[in-house]
Amino acid sequence: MTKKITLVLLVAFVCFGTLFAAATPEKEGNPSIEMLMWGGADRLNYLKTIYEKTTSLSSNEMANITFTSGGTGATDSYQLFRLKLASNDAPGIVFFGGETAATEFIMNGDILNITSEVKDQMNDILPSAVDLASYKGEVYGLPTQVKSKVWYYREDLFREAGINVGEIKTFDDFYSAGMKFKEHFPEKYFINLGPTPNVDVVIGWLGSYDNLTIADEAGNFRITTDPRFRDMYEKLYKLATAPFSLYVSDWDSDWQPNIENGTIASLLSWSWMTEFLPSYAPNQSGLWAITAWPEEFGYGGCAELISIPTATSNKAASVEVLKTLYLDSDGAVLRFKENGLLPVTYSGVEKVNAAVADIAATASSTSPLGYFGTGMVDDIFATMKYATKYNSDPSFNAEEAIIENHLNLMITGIETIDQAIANTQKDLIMQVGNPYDI
Amino acid sequence: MERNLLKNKIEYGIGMICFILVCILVLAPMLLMVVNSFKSNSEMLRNDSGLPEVWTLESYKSLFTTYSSLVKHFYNSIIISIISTICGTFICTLAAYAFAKYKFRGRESIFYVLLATLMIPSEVIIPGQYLFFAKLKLINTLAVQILPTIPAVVGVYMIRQYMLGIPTSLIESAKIDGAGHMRTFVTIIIPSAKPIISSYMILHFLDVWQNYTWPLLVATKQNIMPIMVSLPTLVDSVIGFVPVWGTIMAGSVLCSIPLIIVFLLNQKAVMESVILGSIKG
Amino acid sequence: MKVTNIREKIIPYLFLSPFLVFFLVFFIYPALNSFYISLTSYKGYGQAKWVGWKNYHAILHYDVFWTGIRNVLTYWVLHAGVMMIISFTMAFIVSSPKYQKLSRLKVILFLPRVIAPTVAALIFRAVFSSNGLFNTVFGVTIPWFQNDTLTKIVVAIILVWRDFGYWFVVFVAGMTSVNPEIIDASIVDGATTMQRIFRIIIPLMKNILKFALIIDGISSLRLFSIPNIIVGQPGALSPTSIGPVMNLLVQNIQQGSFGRASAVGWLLFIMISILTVIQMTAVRDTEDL
Repeated sequence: MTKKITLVLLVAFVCFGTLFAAATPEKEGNPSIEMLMWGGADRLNYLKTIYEKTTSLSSNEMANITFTSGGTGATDSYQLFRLKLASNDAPGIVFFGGETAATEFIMNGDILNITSEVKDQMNDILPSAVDLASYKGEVYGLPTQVKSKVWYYREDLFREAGINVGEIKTFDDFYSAGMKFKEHFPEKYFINLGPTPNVDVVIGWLGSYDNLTIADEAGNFRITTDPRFRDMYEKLYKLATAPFSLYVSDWDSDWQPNIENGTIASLLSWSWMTEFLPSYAPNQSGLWAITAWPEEFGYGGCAELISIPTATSNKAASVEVLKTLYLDSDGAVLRFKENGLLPVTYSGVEKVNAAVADIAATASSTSPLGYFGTGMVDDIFATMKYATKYNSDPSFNAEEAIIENHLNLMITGIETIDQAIANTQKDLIMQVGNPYDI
Repeated sequence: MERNLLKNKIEYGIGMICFILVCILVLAPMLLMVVNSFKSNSEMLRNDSGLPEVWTLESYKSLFTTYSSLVKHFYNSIIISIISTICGTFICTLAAYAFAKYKFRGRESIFYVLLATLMIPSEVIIPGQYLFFAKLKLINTLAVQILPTIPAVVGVYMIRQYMLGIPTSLIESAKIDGAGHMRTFVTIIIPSAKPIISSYMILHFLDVWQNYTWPLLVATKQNIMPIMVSLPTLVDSVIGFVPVWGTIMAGSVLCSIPLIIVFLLNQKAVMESVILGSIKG
Repeated sequence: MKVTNIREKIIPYLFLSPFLVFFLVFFIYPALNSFYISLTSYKGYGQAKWVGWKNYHAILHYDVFWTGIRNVLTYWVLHAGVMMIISFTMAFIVSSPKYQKLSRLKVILFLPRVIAPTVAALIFRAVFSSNGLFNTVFGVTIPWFQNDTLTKIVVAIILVWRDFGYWFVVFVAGMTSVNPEIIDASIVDGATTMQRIFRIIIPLMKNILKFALIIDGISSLRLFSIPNIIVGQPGALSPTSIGPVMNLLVQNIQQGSFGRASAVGWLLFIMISILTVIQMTAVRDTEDL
């Protein structure tokens, strides 16, 4: 009896599984391009649609795009990329959450130099975008957008508290505005800064200093020698422990609920938040406004860089997909419509500007344009003038992880500011060694 | 005497209460999983501990519609576990038979060397294994999830211990009847070691099924992922999605209940083999 | 005659060979290889660069490693004692003749073992969420996942929940091997239940208990999925104050430093060996007595 039931279950499993195991049919003969990125596949599946809508190729020459997600965070895609290189399974296209993450691969010769492939379109691409996608004058990919540092704030709450973001220039202005806000809204928080500042926070703050590199050209780390690191650590500590800041990290499971219920009144974030905020707090449509970070720590930018691995099997097809997706102006409009990302080409900008009114007319309140209003395009472009490239060395990924770790220990009170700085330096020397020696 | 009797009764009662309490604590989370799987994803966000406001099969439906990849992953898990179990049990039984019933040079030393390798946890060799399979271009296949799980020293040990108890006279009489080595193995050894073989199969299956670290590293492609790796990805709060707890719970039920049934049907044998496998000091 | 003799001699090796081949190829070779890699700096592609003991040196001077060790110890301290007491008590109850009818139910206690750690972690998120089962039943609002210490307690609870059934089964077996005559004699002598437990059963089962503690310690060192899934998404979290030491290994692989990852693995092995040696000497000591 027992045996029979076990057997029946076993057979049932197998039959059941076979029924649903039918893989998605692939078009025969077309080149297959694997896109390695981060986040859920659903989020980027629209890229496939855009490609199919805008490519000039006929349907049987079209590339068959598949998505592989490295995981949920921006760091996951390049980590998986390394592993894929190790297992001789290079994807067709790889997404780097930030161009700083790509330096290591570019220096190592893993990324295709596409300078000659984009030569013809060079004049159309925004100079800041070219800058972010280049390393030593050569182009190694296309940015999905120029990521600028954007301060999202609740216009209604700020007005009620009497805070004018235009007057906030320095860190001290920012701090006192926070205190003022807290007095007015004891239950709410001016910003959030939790125990685990992630890579966005770290690059955001590193980039706000003029050419603040982690190591000098000889490979000596400068955490203890450059006083600006201490300044940065101190400011982050001050903000994290300030009464007006909610002790919740970005992307933490409590982050979204606190935005949705109106507890967090502003976000020191990046321009891509335009894509997420409408779904995070759909009830606050029209209440959020966009401005640049306060000027004293406002500079810095990065780009989500889309590159082609040298080891990929079908380079020509990859280049074609890449150019269709990010240089085609119709594609730019579609992308803008989908997630509010601004184009990186002049022609794209022009078309988007022309289409804004049309899109806005039909936009739902939870699409970026409906959510932030038509002024959003200009607002974000205004923040882009601060977007400067951060000069990272090839070991930036490892270095950033160490800095993150000690910021965490400092904010949670396990290390004092002095210890955090000293230990960051110590760990960098011990764990990374010479950053150029990869 | 009377007092003693009363005391005994109280003692008995305390023991009973303790046992029942522990049983409830053990079963509560499992019941919660089942109950939660009958809530919709949106209800799970408000109410993740009480009874469902509306009993619905929505979460189960989502397994076959929006999250149909989970069913595919479930199937992958089954393929991986079944192949590994069958191959693993087979080669372990062969080896155990050699160790238990043959005398040959190096028997003791090989056996003790094998036992000594039990001290090397499988995690230690993950980097080496990864590079090895990478060189074979096997990363992101089903094979890479199956192959390293096949040889298990514990299996050899357990089955050998059991086989030591099979009377050698049985084998000899088979030989006198003219049966070859393989035939003896199939007709005499396998039937008489059946209890341990079947319970080891269940243990091995559970082991492979529950494996997490290795597949997490080597199975990053959607179509070959096992369900243990893909289920936690739904928790994701990062990409702007609200976690789909109802679906997660339905998926958990899907990959737990069948195992529980198989286990319950073979409980006695499994628990005996647990004892056999644990006391090896 | 001679030919058959050789054949006879080969037979056992033939039986052994499939296992040995698999074992050598998929276990021994990777193990040796990972030791070699641990002495190099290797990204998994390109050239491996010989660095000697530098990887070990760097890890031993990395506070994340020591935090991992500390966390693992914390998990062990938090759960091992409680777990042993529960499994021992349950084993004692079930194996005493008065509760004969309960022995059919002992399978319930083993059930959590069938639930995968991954699934267990997912289930327990609902138990300990802010409006979850625990907080509702006890009418409290404990923020289990906002505070590292509390999260560690949750992990320990899951470990107890999932693993105590295993030791329960082992202890039941141990207790049935205690000579019932000794126990009967003690009852006749008028020993109370407590006296019976502490004077007779525990001393007789000392070895099993020690064995259980050490094996449980070893499995704590290998802890990975539960603490990571309970607070986040799949995979190893970036260094946090609750991450076990395995996180460092997985992270190093994901960051493509195979040398470091292997070194972490072998350091883990050394620690496990130390525990095993402790166990062996501890057991031998009591045997001498």
